[in-house]
Amino acid sequence: MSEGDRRAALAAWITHPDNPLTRRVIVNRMWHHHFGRGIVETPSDFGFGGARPTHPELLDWLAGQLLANAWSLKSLHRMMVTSQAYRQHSYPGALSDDAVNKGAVNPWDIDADNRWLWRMNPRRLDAESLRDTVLSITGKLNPHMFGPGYRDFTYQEAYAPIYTYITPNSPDMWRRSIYRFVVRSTPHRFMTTLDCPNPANLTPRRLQTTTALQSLAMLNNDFMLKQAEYLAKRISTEVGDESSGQVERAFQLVFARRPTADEHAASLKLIDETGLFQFCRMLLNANEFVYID
Amino acid sequence: MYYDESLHVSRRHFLQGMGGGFGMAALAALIQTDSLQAESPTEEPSPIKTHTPHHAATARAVIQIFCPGGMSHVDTFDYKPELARREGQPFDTTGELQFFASKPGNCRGSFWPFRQHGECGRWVSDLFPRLADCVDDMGFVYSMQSKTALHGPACFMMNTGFVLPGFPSMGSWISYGLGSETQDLPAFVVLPDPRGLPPGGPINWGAGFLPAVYQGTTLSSATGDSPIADLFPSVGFGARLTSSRETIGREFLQTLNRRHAAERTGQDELEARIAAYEMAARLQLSAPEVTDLSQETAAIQRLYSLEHEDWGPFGRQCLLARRLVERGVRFVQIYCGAENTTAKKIRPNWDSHEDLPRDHGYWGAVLDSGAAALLTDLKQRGLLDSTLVICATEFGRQPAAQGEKAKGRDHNAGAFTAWMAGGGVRGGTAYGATDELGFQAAENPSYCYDLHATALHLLGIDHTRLTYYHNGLPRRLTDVHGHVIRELIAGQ
Repeated sequence: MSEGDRRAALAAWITHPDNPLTRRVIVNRMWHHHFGRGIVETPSDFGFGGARPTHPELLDWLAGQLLANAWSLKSLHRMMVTSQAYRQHSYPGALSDDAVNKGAVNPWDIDADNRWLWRMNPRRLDAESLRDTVLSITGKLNPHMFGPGYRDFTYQEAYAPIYTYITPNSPDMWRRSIYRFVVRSTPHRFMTTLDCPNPANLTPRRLQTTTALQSLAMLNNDFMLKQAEYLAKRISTEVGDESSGQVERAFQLVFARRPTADEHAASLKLIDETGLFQFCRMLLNANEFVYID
Repeated sequence: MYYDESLHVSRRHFLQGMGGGFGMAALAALIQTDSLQAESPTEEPSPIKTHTPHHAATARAVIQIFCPGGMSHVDTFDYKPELARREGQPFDTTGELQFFASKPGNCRGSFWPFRQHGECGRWVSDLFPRLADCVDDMGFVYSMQSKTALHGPACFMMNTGFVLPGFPSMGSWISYGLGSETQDLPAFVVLPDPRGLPPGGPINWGAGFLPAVYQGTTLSSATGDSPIADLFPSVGFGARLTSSRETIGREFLQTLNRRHAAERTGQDELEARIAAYEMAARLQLSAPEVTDLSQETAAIQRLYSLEHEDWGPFGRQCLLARRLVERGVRFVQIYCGAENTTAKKIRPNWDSHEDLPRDHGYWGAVLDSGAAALLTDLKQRGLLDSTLVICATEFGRQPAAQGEKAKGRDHNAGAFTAWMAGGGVRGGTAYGATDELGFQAAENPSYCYDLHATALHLLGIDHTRLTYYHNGLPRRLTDVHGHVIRELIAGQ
């Protein structure tokens, strides 16, 4: 058997309709991506060391759908994001007294972890998405696709090379984070602080932490401050110097909604006391900006 | 089954709503105030304390001094009279040996004479006149080995147990295992040499696959620097963001966040993030406070030689370490030396290939001054009993000379010395030995695993049980290795 034949045999085995493992693994990764947690919680480990599926029948059905759709990932993505489970609220309101009287059980009491997806999982923007979203809101995102990545560092030839990160402050460095040139020997502090994993590791599931250092990075990092300034400039350019319109526009851009009357009043007061820049900076630090629900 | 779902899902008290589980875990890591001894049996264990240790700890904090570049054991702590007797004779008669960057030169005895010190009578070279006075508090491992003679990977190995990047460092594991005793400072603080980062850079204090909250936070010890990155607005914005504007801004933010959270009951991660901003504000006060060494008495400032041109910067790092530990920081790592650059006046770390008397002479005096001050100060404050001090390097140096002038030494992964003091270490003891020339560890060869296992033991942790599931394996700091070195532990 030639090497080519051997590889073809391996490929045929991996994709054989009687071998469900491949399909289970990929649909689980997709589910993990959309729902924040896989049907199997250990996406790279379906063996004895891994977690058991919460919904084994669903996993197998999705794996079957992949085969039925000629291995089209796109059709499966569409199926997941149009599903009833995906389109749920992440914060359904409290049960009514009436419902409680009729014996309804508070889902928080039986499935606080949301293992059974009685609500949508709220999602926090990961490091890359956060950076991209900031750039998008300030209007600075450079949508250029393809080609070499951007390098937000200087390089110095030495006994061992020295990489020094710089603030991305020009369009060539305002591309999507997926185009970031990753320096494996020198982790990017801002991104690492925001839970971007070390590229030396395979990271099937990212960890999410909440730390004071993240708050400091979001508040004081030069990139965030410069972008808050760009946001203030964008708003002034678009709606002029009148504060009320600035508040409306800022909420629209950062939260994709209108401010409530209370928020509007508090925002006007903040702008009056500290200026539009500080107001923009604080919106980019808000929980509502960082969490999608 | 390795993967213990209960670690991640059933701690409902902390993990309400899985999406926020790790958020709360992170918060708990920062504000975790229970010490091992104080743990209440009725309290549900927090996610970061699921590996509850079994035995009582003698140490509650660690200060690790790391000497990057490779400290020569035969010129410092490992007395080799036979090497001196063979001075000038060929080291390798076969001609087959190849060192890291050279062929072996002739045997070269220590550049400094050795003397016995203290009641224990341990030998220390004249490079360390002050540390020599502390030997009765120090326990030595003479038989350390590394698996590589490359600086970066060897630093990774000493810090994480693996030569490859991406594994959690000892400080991360210990913070993960024990949590923090302070709400105002990070649990794991790193004080790099003011000249720059060590070989391998921040990977040396990375959290690897552990949650990012356990990674080391670098604290700049240079005067005038902001102690922590992004602690305050970047240059150019500070003037516009006066402290009153900051207060007003933060109040607005937290009001916005609280209103947002009120509509989303049960999502603890939102509360965690609100708390993180409050903690950030506290850090803005506590970090400058801890780095303000002017609060120390003149005698203490003299003890650490803060005014000395060469020794002062490392003295600052050592004094800072004591102040951090006093305030409840769990693990402080101090670097005595930076990344290598091509030699100018002296090497920026211990990597003494061409002129060991010059480079070890410089760094030796720096280490001697700061480390001896630290041990003395900890002891006089009664802190040494509960603070484990570890001094290590990534590998040793060859007993044969290197270079035209035969004044240097090449890398030696086969042997080096590490020492520990305080925190339950039996002073004046030693473990293991090298061969008669100091070429290879001969008696009780030890790796970082044994040092790590011993450190964890002193902290009350069984190194085989401090695990974290990652990609199908319950990972450990000591991998599948490690033995507690009981010979170095008091009362054993």
